[in-house]
Amino acid sequence: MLNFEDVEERDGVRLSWNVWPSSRIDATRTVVPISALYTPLKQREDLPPRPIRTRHLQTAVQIDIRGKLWICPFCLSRNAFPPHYKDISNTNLPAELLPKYTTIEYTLSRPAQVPPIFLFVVDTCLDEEDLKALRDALVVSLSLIPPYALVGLITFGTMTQVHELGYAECSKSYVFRGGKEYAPKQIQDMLGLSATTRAAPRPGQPMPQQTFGAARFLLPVQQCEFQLTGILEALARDPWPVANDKRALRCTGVALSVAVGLLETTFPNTGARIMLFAGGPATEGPGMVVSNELKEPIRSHHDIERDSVKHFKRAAKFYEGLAKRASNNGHAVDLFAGCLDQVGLLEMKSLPNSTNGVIVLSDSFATSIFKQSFLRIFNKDDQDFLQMGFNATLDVQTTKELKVSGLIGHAISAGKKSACVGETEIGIGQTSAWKMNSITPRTSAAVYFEVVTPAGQALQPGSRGLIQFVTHYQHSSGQQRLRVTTIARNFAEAGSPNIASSFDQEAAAVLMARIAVFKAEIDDSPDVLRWLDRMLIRLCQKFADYRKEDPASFRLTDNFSIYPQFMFHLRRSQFLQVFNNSPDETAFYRHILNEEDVNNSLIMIQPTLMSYTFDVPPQPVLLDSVSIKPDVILLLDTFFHILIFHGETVAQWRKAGYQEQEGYENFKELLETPVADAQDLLVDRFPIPRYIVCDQGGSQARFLLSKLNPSTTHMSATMYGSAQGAGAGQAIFTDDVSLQVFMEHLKRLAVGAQTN
Amino acid sequence: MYAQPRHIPQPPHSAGEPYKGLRARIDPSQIPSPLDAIEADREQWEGKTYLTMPGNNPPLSTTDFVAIDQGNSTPKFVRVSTWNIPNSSHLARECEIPLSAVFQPFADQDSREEAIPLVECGETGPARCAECRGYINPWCTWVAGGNKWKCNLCGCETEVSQDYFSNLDANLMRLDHYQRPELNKGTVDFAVPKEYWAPPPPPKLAPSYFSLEPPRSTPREPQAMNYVFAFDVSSEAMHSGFLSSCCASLRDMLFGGTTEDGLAFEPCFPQGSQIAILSFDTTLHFYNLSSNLRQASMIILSDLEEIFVPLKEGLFVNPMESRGLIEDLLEALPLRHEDTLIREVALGSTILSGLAALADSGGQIVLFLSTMPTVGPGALEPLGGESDVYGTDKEKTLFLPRNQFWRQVAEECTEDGIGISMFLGMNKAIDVGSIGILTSTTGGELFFYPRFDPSRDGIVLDSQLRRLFSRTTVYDCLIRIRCSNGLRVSRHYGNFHERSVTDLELGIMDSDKAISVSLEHSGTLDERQYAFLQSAVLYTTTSGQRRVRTCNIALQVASLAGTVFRYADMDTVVCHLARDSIYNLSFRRMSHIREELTEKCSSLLLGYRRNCAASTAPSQLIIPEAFRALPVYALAISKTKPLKGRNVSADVRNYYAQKLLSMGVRSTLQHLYPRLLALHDLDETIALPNPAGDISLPSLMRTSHMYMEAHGIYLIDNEECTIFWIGSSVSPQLLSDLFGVDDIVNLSPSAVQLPPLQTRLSAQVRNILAHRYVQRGRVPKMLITRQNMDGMEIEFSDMLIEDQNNAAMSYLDYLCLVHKQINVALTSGGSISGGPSLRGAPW
Repeated sequence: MLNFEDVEERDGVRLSWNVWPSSRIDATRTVVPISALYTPLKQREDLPPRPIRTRHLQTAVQIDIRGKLWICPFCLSRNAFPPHYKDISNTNLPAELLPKYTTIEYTLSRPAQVPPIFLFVVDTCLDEEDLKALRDALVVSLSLIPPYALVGLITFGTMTQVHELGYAECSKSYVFRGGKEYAPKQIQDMLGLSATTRAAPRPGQPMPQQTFGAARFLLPVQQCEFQLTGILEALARDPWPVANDKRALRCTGVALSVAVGLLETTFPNTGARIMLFAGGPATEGPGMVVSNELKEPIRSHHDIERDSVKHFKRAAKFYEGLAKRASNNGHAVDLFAGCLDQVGLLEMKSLPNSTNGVIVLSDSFATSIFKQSFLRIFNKDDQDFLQMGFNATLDVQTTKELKVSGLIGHAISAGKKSACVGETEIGIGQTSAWKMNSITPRTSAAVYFEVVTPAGQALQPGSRGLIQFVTHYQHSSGQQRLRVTTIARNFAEAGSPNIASSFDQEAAAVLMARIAVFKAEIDDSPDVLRWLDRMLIRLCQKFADYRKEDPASFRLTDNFSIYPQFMFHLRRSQFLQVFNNSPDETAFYRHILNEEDVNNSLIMIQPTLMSYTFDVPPQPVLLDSVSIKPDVILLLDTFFHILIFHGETVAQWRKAGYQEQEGYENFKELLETPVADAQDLLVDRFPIPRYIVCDQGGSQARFLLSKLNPSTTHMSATMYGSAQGAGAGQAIFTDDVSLQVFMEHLKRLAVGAQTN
Repeated sequence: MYAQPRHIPQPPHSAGEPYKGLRARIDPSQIPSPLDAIEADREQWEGKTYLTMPGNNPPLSTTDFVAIDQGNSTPKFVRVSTWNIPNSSHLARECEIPLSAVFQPFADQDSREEAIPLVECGETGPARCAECRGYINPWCTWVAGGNKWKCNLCGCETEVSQDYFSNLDANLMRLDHYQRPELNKGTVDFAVPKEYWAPPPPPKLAPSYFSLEPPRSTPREPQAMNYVFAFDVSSEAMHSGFLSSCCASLRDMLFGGTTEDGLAFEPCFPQGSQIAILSFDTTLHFYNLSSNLRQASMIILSDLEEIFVPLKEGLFVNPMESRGLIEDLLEALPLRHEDTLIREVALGSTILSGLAALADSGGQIVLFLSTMPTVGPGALEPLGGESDVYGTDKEKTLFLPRNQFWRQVAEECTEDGIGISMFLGMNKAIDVGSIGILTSTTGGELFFYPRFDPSRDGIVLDSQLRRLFSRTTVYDCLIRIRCSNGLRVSRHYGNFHERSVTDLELGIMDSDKAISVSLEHSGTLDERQYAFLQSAVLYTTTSGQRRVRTCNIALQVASLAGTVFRYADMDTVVCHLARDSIYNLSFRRMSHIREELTEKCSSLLLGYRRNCAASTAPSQLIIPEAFRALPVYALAISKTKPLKGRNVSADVRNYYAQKLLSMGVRSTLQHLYPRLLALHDLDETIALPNPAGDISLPSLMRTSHMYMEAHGIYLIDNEECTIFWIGSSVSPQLLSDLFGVDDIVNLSPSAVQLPPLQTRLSAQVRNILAHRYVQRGRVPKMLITRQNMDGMEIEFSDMLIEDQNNAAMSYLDYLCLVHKQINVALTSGGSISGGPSLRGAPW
C-alpha cells in the first residue's frame, strides 16, 4: 500500500486511483476518473544535480547497457545513449535512471537567458493613505526583485500613462486616453516600438543608446531603481475632479491592454508578470465594469443571473481577449484589489485564470493582507532565486493504455494534439500540453485521464501504465529548465479489491471539486449540485458494502469513509454557493481552489476546527455546531479566514480581565495558544487570510457559524423550549440540511433503486 | 530731393517691365513725389494738437501728432477715405473714391494723449439703442426731457434706464454731460457685466478633440489671458538653431535677463497670465509645471487623431511661481532633442490640443514651427510645381488652404476665444497658404524667418516676441461696425473670422491690427446732418476684464464732388486698395488684379478730372492735391510681394498678404513706399538731441536709383526689414564712422547691429533707428548690402519702388500709362474699367 503523501512529497503528484482499472468500461464504472493533481515545482531538498538535458531518459525506460541503447516507453523508439553516458554500466547509472529519482530537473543549454519581467500597473484613483501604502509597498518590492530583473511602470486613472524609465532627463510618460480602445498596432506605434518609426541613423552618427524599443520602458532594477523610486514617490492621485455623485474615472481596461500590448511587442514568449493594482472598478473605456454614476450600483450575482447587467458581457469579452493575448505570449497577469467594494474581478478573472496570475483581494492597500501577500510573491529560495517560474509548458505523456482528457487549473491549451489526447474532454481538453505562464511551488494542476483499452483484452501480469509530466519553464535566473516526473501504476482486473483500496479520497475530493467548479463556471449551480450528488451516489453504490434496500447495512471502507463528508461541505461551500458572496469573491475563491494542492484545497472544502480548553491539549474537533461550547476557544481555518472564537464564558472572563491577574496564568496561556497556532498557519499561506477574532454571539462569529455542520438548528429545539443539553452546542439559524440528514439520504439512495 | 547729377544707373538685375509704345517726355523731377505731402504734413502738425471735431482734414497717418478727442475718435483709431462723405451713391460713383474706413481700435497712443476712459456701467451694462443695438455715444441726442435718447445711427428713441437718468439743461444737454466720458469722447471703454460674457459655442456633431468634461454650457468667465507655447522639436528646428533661439527668447521675455553688453532688461510677460508649454514632433509633449515638482515632467501623447489634454494640474502655471522649472525646461528642450531624427511634425494635433486646453478660458497659442506639418490631422503633401500655376487659373489656389482642416480648426479656435500666433523659422516650403489661416482667422500674427539664422534673426525674434507680449492685446473679441442710416457696410477686410455678415470674431486682437470696411450707400444722406460710423469691440483684456471699446466718428456730408476730393484721405484709400487687391488674390488672377488696380487709380483721377477740372486740356495730367501720390502707391501695391509678377514663393506671398491685410494705415504706407535715407550727407545737427531734448529727423528721399550716388550710404526701411546700402566708392571715413571698419571689403554683410561708436554719424544713425523702434515697438530685420557685391542688393533694389523693377514699370512709365488711360477715356467718353477689354464680363 502506497503512502499517498510520501509520493506527493517525492513527485508532487496525488492520484485519485493508484491502481488502475484495465479497460475503458471498468474505468468508467469507478465513477471518479483517473486523475492526478500535479504540483510541477514542488519544493524538494534532495533533487539531484541538474544534468544537461539530452532526451527523456527516465527510470521507467528499458535500457540495454551493452548495446548502449534505451527504449522510450511512450513511443517505443530506440535511442542511443548520448556520448557523455558512455561510461554507463549497471553499477554506474546516472541519477535519472535510479528508481529513487522519479523526478528530475534538467537545465537546458540555451544561450539567451532572459531575466524575468515585472510590469506594475498602478491605479492612482486612490485616497491619499491608500496610495501612499501602495507606493511604499512597490518601493519595498523593488528591493526584493532580483537586480537583473526588468521592471516597468504603468499608472492609470482617468488616463493611462506608461512611464519611460530609460529617460534620464526628466520623468517622461506616454499617455493613453481612458475612453478609447487601442488596437495592439496603435499601442506599438504610439510607444514608438515599431520598427518603422526608427529613422535610419545618419552615416557617421552613432545611434543614440537606448532610445528605441523596450529598453525605454523596461529596465533592470539595478539600472532604474533610483528613477523608478523617484517616479513612485512623486506619484500623485489622479487629478481629475470627482463629483459627489460619481465614481472616479478609472480606465483599468486601457491600462491592461497597453501593458499587454507593450509586453507582447517587446518580449513575446518570455516570462513576465503584469501586476495590476486596482483600487476600484473600471468605470471608463473598454473593460468598463460599472458606469461612473454612483446611482448605478455594481452588479451582483442576482443581476448577472437575470442578465440585466449593462457592461458585464462586453467587459468579460474584452478581458478574455486580453487574457488570450497575454497567455499566448507567456505573460502572467496578477490582480491585486484594494477596495471595500468590488473591483470587477469577475470580469477580469480570465486574466489570472488563464495565465496563472495571483489574485489578492483586500479592503485597502493599507491592509496587511495586501502588503504581506504582495511581498510574499517575491519569496526567495535558498539560492536566492525567486520562487517562481515563468512561461511554463506542462506536457503530459502517457503509455498507450491511457489518454489525456484534460486539465483543470490556471492554464491554457498549448494546442498539442499528440497521440495521447483522449476523446473524453474534462476541463481544458483536446491537447496534451498546456501553457502556464507563471508557476510557483504551490501551483497544482489537475490532469484527468481515461483508459482506452477495450474490455475483454487479457491483462498481462504486472502490466503498468506510465504517465510522464514534462514541465518546461523559465527559471527566475533566466535559465530554461525542464522538470520531468514519471509515475508508473499497475493495472488491475475489473472488480479487483486493489482498485478500491488504492482510492485516495482526499485527492479524489479535490479533483472532483475542480470538475464541479469548472462546471459551475459554465452551468447553473443546481445542475452542478445534482451532478455532484449523482456521482457520490454512484461511487457509494459501487464501493460501499450494503444489502440492497437496507440503508442500515450501508458501510464504507476507511479510504472512502470521509469522502461523502467532503462532498457535503463542498456542496455548501462558497465555491458552489454564491449566496452571500459578491461575484468578485466567488471568482476569487474559485481561482484559489484551482491552484492549491490537496491539503490546502481540503482546508478550503472542509475547514479545520481546533478546540482549546483547560486541561486538555488542543485537539481538532468536528466542524459541527456541537463543537461550540461556552468554555472553549475555537480556531477555525478556512484557508481564506483564520478565526479565533471565544466561547461565551471565555469571552466573559477575558472581558473581566482575568488573564491579567495573578493566579490565572493558565487562562492567559489558553488565550495565547490559539493565537500562536494561527501565526503558524499564516507562515506560508498565500494570499494572507483574513484574521478574525470574535466572541460567541458577536457579529463576526457568522464566519464560523456559516461553516459548521448545522446539526443543531433553531428547528431542532423541542416544543418545550431549549433542547440544549450539556454539549448540545449552539443552534445555527439555517434551513440547510445537516450532515446527518445528508448521510441518511445518501444511504437510502445508494442502496435503493438506480438514481439515474 | 532731386535727381543727383551723378546718379547711379539702375542695376540690370532688377528687371521690370518697360512702357510699351510712345510716351510723353516728362521731367522726372517734376513728377509728383509722395514725400512732399508727408514732409509738409509733418511740418504742419509736429508739436501741435489735432482737435477731432468734424470738418477738418486730419494729419496724415505718417505724421506723429497729439490728438484731443472731442467726441470723434482720433484718426489713430479710425480713418475714413474721405472726411466728407458724398451724399448719394451717384456722387460716390462719380468721384470713384472707394468709400472705406479703417478701424484700429487698440492703436498705440501718443504718451501725451489722454488715456481711453473706462466707463463702469454696473449690472445693466452700457446704454444701447433698442433698435440697432448701437452704443451710447457723444452724438446721441436727448429727448422727452431726458427720458429718452435718440440714436444717431438709426434714429430710434430709447428709454433711459432709471439709474442712468439725468435732467437736461437749456441746451438739451444732460446736466451730468461732462462727468460722463461716453457722452464726450469718441473712443471709450465700457466695463460690461456678465451678460456680455462669451456664450458657449454651439454643440458640435463631431467634436474635434476629446474632453473629459462636458462642453461648457455657461458663459465663459473672463480671466487673465492664458498662453500656450508650443515648440517644434523636429530635426529641422533643431539644426537651424530655431528651437534654441526661441527657447532663449521666451526665457528672457518671461523672466528678464541681461544683454550681451551687460544691461539688465525686464521681463515683459503680462502679470497674472498663466502659461503652458508644449513641444511636438510626431508626438505631442505636455509638461507638468506644478511648482511643487522638482522638475517638469513630460507627458507624451502619441494618439494624433483623438486629441485630449492629459494634464489637469500643472498644465497652466504662473511663470513666476514655477520659474525654476520653466527655466530648466526651456534650457533643456534644445539639448534633449539634439539628436532627434524625427523630421515630421503634427501641427494639427498640436493646435487641437491647444484648443482643448484653452477651450474653457480662451487665450493665445504661440507656435514656433520649422517644418511643414505632414502627419496628423491636416497633414499636407509637399508642395510641388508651384511655379507651374503662375499665370493660370489655378493661381488662386496658392492662397487657399489645401486642407479644409486648417480653416475648421481656426474657426473653432476663434469661436472659443483663442488666438494663434506663429513664429515660422524654416528652410523649406512650409505652406503658409494652408497653415497661415490659423493666424489670419484667429486674429493672431505670423512671424516669418525664412532660412533662419540665429545670429541674424535672433534679435528680430527677440524683439517680436517682446512686442507680442508688451503691446496692447485683448482676446475673445467680437467686432461689429455700425453706420448711420443711408450707409451700410458692404465688406470687411482684415484677419478675422466672419461669423455672420455683420459680426466679426477674433481670438485675439492687438494694437498693430486694423480692420477695414468698405461702405456703400443705402439711401441719400442729408447734407445738413452728419453721417456716423461706430465700431464696437467686445473683448477681454489681458488681465481678464470684459469690456466693450467703441470708436465713433461723425462725418460731414457733401453734395459736391469738389468737397469730397478736398477732404479725401489718400492714406485710407491706398490702404483700402491694397487690402482689396489682396482680398481678391484667392478669387482672381494676379495679373488681372494688377490691371484692375491701375484702372481704379485711373478712374479715381478721371473722376476728379470730369467733376472738378473738366475745363483743362485732355492732354494734361491733372491730379487732385489729396491724391498726388496715388499713382506711385498704386504702383507700389502691384510691386508688393503678394501681388508682383515673376517668381516669389507662395509662402512669401501668403505671408505678406496676411500681413498687409491686417496692418494699420501707417505701416501699410511705409511698407508700400519704403523710407529711404541718405546717411552720408546728414546735417550736423540732425537726429541729435537739441538743448531742449527734441530730436529732428532727416527728410526722406525718393526711392529710386536715380537719386542715389555711388559714394553714399543709404538706409531703407519697409517695416519688415532695414537695409544699409553702401556705395562702391564710399569714403573709408564714413565706413569707420558708422561701422568701425575702414574698407568696404572688410565690412561683414552679416552684421546684425550697428556697433556703438563714439562718432557723430554713428550716434545720429542709432538715434534714427531708436526713434523708429519707439514708433513701432520692434526691430525689423537688418541687413547690410554693398553695391555690386552682395546678393541682398536685389532685395534693396526691389524696395526702390520708383524704379523699373518687380516685373512692373517705373513710376515715370506708370504715370504715363495712367495718363494715357485717362486720356483715352476722356476723349472716347467711356469709362476706364468698361473699356475695350471685357475681361471681367461673365460671358
